[in-house]
Amino acid sequence: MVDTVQSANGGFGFLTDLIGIQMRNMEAIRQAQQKMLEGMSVLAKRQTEIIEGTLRRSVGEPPAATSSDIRSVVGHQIESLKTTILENQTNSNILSEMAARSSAEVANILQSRMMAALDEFKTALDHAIP
Amino acid sequence: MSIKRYTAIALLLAATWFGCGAWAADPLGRFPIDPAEVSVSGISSGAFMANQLHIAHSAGIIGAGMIAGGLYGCAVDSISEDGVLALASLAVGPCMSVPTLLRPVDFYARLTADLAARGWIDPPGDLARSRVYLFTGQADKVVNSKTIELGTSLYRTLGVPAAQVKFRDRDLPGAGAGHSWVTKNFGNACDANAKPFINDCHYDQAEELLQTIYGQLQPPAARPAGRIVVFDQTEFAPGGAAAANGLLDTGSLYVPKACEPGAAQRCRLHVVLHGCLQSAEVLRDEFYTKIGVNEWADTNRILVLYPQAHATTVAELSSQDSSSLFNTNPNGCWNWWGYAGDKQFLTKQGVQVRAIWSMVQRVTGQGN
Repeated sequence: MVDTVQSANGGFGFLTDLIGIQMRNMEAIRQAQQKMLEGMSVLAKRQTEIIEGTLRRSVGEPPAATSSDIRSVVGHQIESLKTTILENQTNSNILSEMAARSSAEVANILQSRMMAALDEFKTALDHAIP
Repeated sequence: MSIKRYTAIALLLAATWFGCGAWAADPLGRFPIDPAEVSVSGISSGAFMANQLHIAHSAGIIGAGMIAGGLYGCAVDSISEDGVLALASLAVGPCMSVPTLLRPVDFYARLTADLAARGWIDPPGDLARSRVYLFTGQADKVVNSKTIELGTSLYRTLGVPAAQVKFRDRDLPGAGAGHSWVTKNFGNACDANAKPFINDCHYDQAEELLQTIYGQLQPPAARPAGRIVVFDQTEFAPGGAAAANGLLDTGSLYVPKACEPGAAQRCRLHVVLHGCLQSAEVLRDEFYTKIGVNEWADTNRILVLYPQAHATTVAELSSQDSSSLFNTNPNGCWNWWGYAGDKQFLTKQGVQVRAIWSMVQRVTGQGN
């Protein structure tokens, strides 16, 4: 009779532990989703800034065809093209780094929770099966 | 046992002692320094760090020299409750090679005001009494001149009078200077952009930099007669973890005879910060003995502190996770883009800023 009660208590405790683990897992997923949303918001903001900056610079550019010297016109256009290529590459690097950092933060949250959950499960199992 | 054998054993012991890093340098000492005469300078990443130190501690630093670098907050994307988000891609992009993507000077001025309002740096108003030297070489292929020009504008925007800001860039011989600390007679060809990043342009940069900060100085010594002291830097790193935070175990100090403990008159202190690939790990003593500063220090009662950065690998970081690759410092640069997870790198709470400032306080007898 005593064994049966102990077993029932142990089973109930194990169930409580499992629910606790699951709750913490859900909390970690919520945090990860929040980080992901924050990351996406920062990325979107940065993309908007990039588009605004590009528009501002293109509007501010002096018209290339006003000079009568063809070499000057072509030279100017080549320089403009080079600058645009460099800017695009840099903007792409910035966005990639932001996305990678955001993903790394999400991965860190999920990974550390997974490791903790495994430890917690082992402890709960040790308690349930003496 | 023969003498040869004794000698071999002694050499082996000495090699083991020095080679394995077991040799512990002495702690940094106190010297007769006037704390109101502290200044800082640096080249490249050292210029960015000199700029960060100056702006973070403007109440305690009377002048700064920035060579081929230095725009406060250049790599910062945004500010948050626990610090700033800085990006390596902003550092290597807009700050170094794509100046068209630099933001207007107002952005950096607002960032400075914001950090000051949070109490993370001294009030920018303290900068008004500073004397500042900025330099960019016309042949510099590493850090674009526009960044240093913007750094100059930022100082003006923050209230440093024009007469106290010296910006040099156009009047060196030939194509101008490459990315380097420029000297009168040592180093690579003037327009080189290569190690050791010390170039011979027949221009004494140490002279103009120090005279901008301290006014007219006595002529330099032909050969420095003081001593170089190698000191322990680990005590200035959190938990002694120098390598994890981009700091070398040891730093160097040049002590002119006139600045030895017990000197009748107090000396000045000038902090010099090397650039990437220029620490003692790479150049040994070349940087802190060949850039011409010690010669001027010798005859003008200036003690020179040369803190040293360290090339931090993933394995040396205090914790390894998915973000580790963003936190390394492969070229041994000073921290101006937030590596090692330091979100406060440009404020008084930044690990390296705090370490260097603690060294300054020790040397001047102000603290610890």
